[in-house]
This record gives sequence, C-alpha cells and structure tokens, in this order.
Amino acid sequence: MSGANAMAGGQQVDEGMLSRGLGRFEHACVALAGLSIAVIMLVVVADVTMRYLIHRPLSWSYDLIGSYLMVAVFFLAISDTLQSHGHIAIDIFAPAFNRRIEHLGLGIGYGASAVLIAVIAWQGWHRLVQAQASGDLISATVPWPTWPTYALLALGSAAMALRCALRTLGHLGSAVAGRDLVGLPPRAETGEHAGEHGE
Amino acid sequence: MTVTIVLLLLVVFLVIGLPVALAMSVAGAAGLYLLGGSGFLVGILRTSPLSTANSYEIITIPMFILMAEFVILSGVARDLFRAATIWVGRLRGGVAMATALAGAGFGAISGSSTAAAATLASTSLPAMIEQGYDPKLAGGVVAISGTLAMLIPPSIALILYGIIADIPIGELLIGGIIPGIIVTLAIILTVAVLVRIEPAAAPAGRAYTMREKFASLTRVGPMLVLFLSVTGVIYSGIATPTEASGLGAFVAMLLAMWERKLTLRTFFEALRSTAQTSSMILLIILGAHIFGYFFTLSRVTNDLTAWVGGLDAPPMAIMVVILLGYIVLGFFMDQIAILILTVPVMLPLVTQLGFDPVWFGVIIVVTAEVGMVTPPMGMNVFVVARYTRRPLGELFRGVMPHVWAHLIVIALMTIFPALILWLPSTM
Repeated sequence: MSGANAMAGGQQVDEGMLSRGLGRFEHACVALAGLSIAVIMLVVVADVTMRYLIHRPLSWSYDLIGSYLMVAVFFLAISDTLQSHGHIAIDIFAPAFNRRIEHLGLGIGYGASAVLIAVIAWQGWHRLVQAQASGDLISATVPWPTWPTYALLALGSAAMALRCALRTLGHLGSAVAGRDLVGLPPRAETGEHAGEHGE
Repeated sequence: MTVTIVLLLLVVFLVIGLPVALAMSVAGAAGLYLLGGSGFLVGILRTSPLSTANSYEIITIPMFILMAEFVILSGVARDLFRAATIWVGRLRGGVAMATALAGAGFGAISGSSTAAAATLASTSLPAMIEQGYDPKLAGGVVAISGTLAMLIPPSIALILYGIIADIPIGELLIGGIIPGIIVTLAIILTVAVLVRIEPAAAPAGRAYTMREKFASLTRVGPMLVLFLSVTGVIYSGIATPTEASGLGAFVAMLLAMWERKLTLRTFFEALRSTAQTSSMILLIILGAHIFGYFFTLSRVTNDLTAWVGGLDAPPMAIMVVILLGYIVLGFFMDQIAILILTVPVMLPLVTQLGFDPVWFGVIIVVTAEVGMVTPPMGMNVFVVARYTRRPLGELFRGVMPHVWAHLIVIALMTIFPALILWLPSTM
C-alpha cells in the first residue's frame, strides 16, 4: 500500500494510518504463523521418535496440529501474504490494459473478495461464540476447547477482509484519480514474489 | 447460462490480475449464490475454510517448503554442483551436464523448482560463463535443470495433486523417481548433442584425479542423509509422507546448523517465508473447494465426462489432446493454479478412460515442467534472467532444445506407463 489518502463516498479516508496499523498486526500474526510451523516440525519429530524408541507416540499430536497449529499457519499468514503480493496472480495480460481499467477491475475484484471473506470471518465469529457458550471440546480423549480454532479463523479472515477492503478503496480511488494511489503487484520479470511459483 | 456467467467472471478476474485464489473464490461463490441462494452459500463459507486447513496430512506442504528453505540456507546445493563438476567436468559440455546432475540432487532434497533454478543460477552459471560457455546454452540448461525439483521427491506439485485428487501421496512421490532420472538423462543427452553440433559453445574442462573425485563425495553425504530421511523412509514404509516431511525439515535444519548457516534471523526469515508460501497454497486450495462445489452442483464435470465418454475416439487420442491442452495452459498460467483448476474436472474423465491416477499426476507434472521454461510465463527463465542479466529471448531460445527433449520424454512415458508405475508397485 502506498499509504495515500483515498476518496470514498465523498469522504476522506486516511488509508495510510489504517493500513500501517493493520500492517503491524499482520506482521505479528505472520510471526505467530511461522512459530506454529516450527512447533509442528518439533511435534512430528517427537511423535515419530517416541513411537519408534519407546512405542509410545504422542496421543495429542494430531489434534494439536490439525485443530490449532495448522489453522494458525493458514489464517494468521493470509493477510500478510496479500499485503506483500505473495498470492499468485496472472500478470501477463495486465500491461495490455489501460491503467484505469486495471484499477477498476481490481477494485471490483477486491471489493467482492472483501465481502466474501468478511462473511467467512463473521461465520467464524458465530461459531466461536457458540462453541464457547456450549463448552465444545475437540474429543473425549483430548479435552481441549474448540473455540481457539474459530478464534484463529475469525481473526485471520477479519484482517484479510480489511486488507481487501483497503485495496478496494485504493484501486477505486486510483481509477477515479487516474494515478496510482495503491501499489500494483511487481511484474514477473522483476518479480520479488517469484519464489512461490510452480513449486 | 449460470456456468457461462461464472466462467466469464473467473476469466475476467484472472486476466485483470486478481490473485488466482480470490478469483476462484469470488466466481465460485457467485455461482453457488445463483444456484442455491444465500443460505446455501453461507453454509459452505461456514465450513469450507476450516476444512481446508483442519487436517493433519496438509502439513506436508509447509514442512517440505521449510525443508527447502533450510537446504538453501545450508549451502549443500553448491557442494553438489562442485562434486558433479569434478566427476564429469572433463567432458566437453561437462559443466552443463554437472548442472543437470546437481539439479537432480537438489530436487531430491527440495520440492521447489524456482528455488532450484535460483540456486543453480547463482552457482553453476558463473562457473560455465567463466569457462567460456555460450550463455544461451548455459542459461538454458540451468532453467531446465531447475524444473527437476518439481518431479523428483519431495515434490510439492505432486503432493498438491495427491491432496486434490485424494490419492496416496507416498505412491505419487515414489512414482516421480524414475521419470526424474529419465528427465535428467534427457538433459545430459541434449547437452551432448548440442556440443557435438556446435563444439565452440562449450569447452572441455580440466581433469581431476581419482583422489580429488573421491574427496568430493564427502560433501555429497549430507544430501544422501536428507534424501534417505525423506524418500527412503517413505519407500520403506518406516514413516508416512506426512511424518517424513516433518523429519526432512528437522534434518535440513540440523544440516543448516552444522554448516553454521543458521542464525536466529535466518531461522525466523525461513519460518515467515514458509508461512507465506503455505498460506498462498492453502488459499488456492480453498478457492478450488468453493469453485469445486459450484462445478459439482452445476454438473459440469458429469456432463463433460459423459460427453467425452460418448466420443468415438480411442482413449489414447483423447489423452494426447488433454496433454497438449496442459502444455498450452502452461504457457500462460502458473503450474499450481493449473493443477488446482483442472484436476477436479479432468481426473474423473481420465480414470473413466482407463488411465491410472498416479500415472496421470506424474505425467501432468512433467508437462508442467515445460510450462516453467516456455514463454510468456516461464518462471524459471525469469529467475535465470534475473541472475544473469541476459535478455529473456536469448534464454528462451537456449532452453528450446530441452523443451523438445522433454516432449519426447512425455511421449515415452505415455506409451510406456510402467516407467512411472513400476516403482510404486514395489512398495
């Protein structure tokens, strides 16, 4: 995000401050996602080692990883990845478009995405409240609460929805103003994000 | 009508440059809304996102990505290239052949094709240019050798296919071994032919003594340990692919520590990068789920399968058309996006035609390798171009002979499916 002020509905929106604040939050979230990955690695190694050495695998490893850690990896990293243009996009056709059209199309696309992901976040929140009220547990053998799973989902998706909404404002503002108020993804030839393609 | 609107929406968003995952999610959601109304759509949005991540098996993706990060940190890849050069560098074009061998070795310990191309570009390319190789030949062999990582286990592309197609990941990974060896040999053979036609393009290197040759092998040891801790344990059945991925990441981390390359800063950078790449892949899987629900509901897959089933063409002819379609898609689209978008539709069709799903997974990954080095979306060529500062056109021309060789390999594997299926059958 270039941190410019964008016009929306005739009202000045200080996208810069909001974006920076969200950026800090995303940074903290992705650090937690990274930490979850390190924990997954250690739990798997401990699990396999204990099963082979003392025939006693960790009974809780599947649930810890499936219900909490992997959910954290996905949902806590999606928004930061979007912010750094890490989600792959097809960028070979974009140069053929008029810049305004490109911004308008992306504005509409991100707007629809913001709504969609906001619904996901809202549903996550709904399930969180339900799970907390009824004291839902993962299973009888692993009596851990399920609400943290929904909390991770709601938190990560809410950040992502907000990031999409900011992108929408930036792109629509750019389309109206006729100049770039929001950063477009780097092109493949110069691509900073090249590492993820075609793994 | 609904299907046309949704496909149009998908194409427009993809072409305008919206992330693939979001384009699929939005288009799929619009279709679900049109077919089932808002209650139906919200129901799917309530459960799908969590079921994408909420599984134990999916950790193979972040674990193998993390393993690749640690392998790159450790610098083992550079040593692989040096060892290969000492063994075959004396031949004309030997350093280029060593590049293919190092690419295969790197592929055996990492699943990322672009990472392999970047590593080879920073090690073997300068060595070749220094020895007076034609930059076109040098760049071409680096770009194509990088793609081996996609095929030789651990391969993230094959794992992704296994997850989407719901077939055993272990069999798929083992199925990639022999094709990986064949592709490596094809690259070496292509280099041999090229230098025979144009000897000036590649000088002969210096010879090494047997003592030097065996001394170089000590640096191959760490790679073998990693290879055995992943592919070895999967093949022998000691651990599942999921467990092997965790073990592989851990051993790669120890290796990076042993080489004194792991600091707290590089460790956290590797974790962050892994988290980003994993979430990128998972978001695409979520998009594919949402889009897949729409496709199932609209019965497009059924209709397509029924239509092709009613065609009066031999299955092999249909397969040739399908593979050509994949090669063309590879020109324009990212390989992960291709897998996610097409496999749910193509797989039922392919199995109905009597082809093996493991064979199909491996063959489309070999086909995708072509897309990594052909214009306009040849990711590996972009990576090489960034390192060498050579014009893209020159590099694309340099890789062309390898593309032809690749097509011959694809034809061989289509005619003789046992090349792919024999090794998994011995598990």
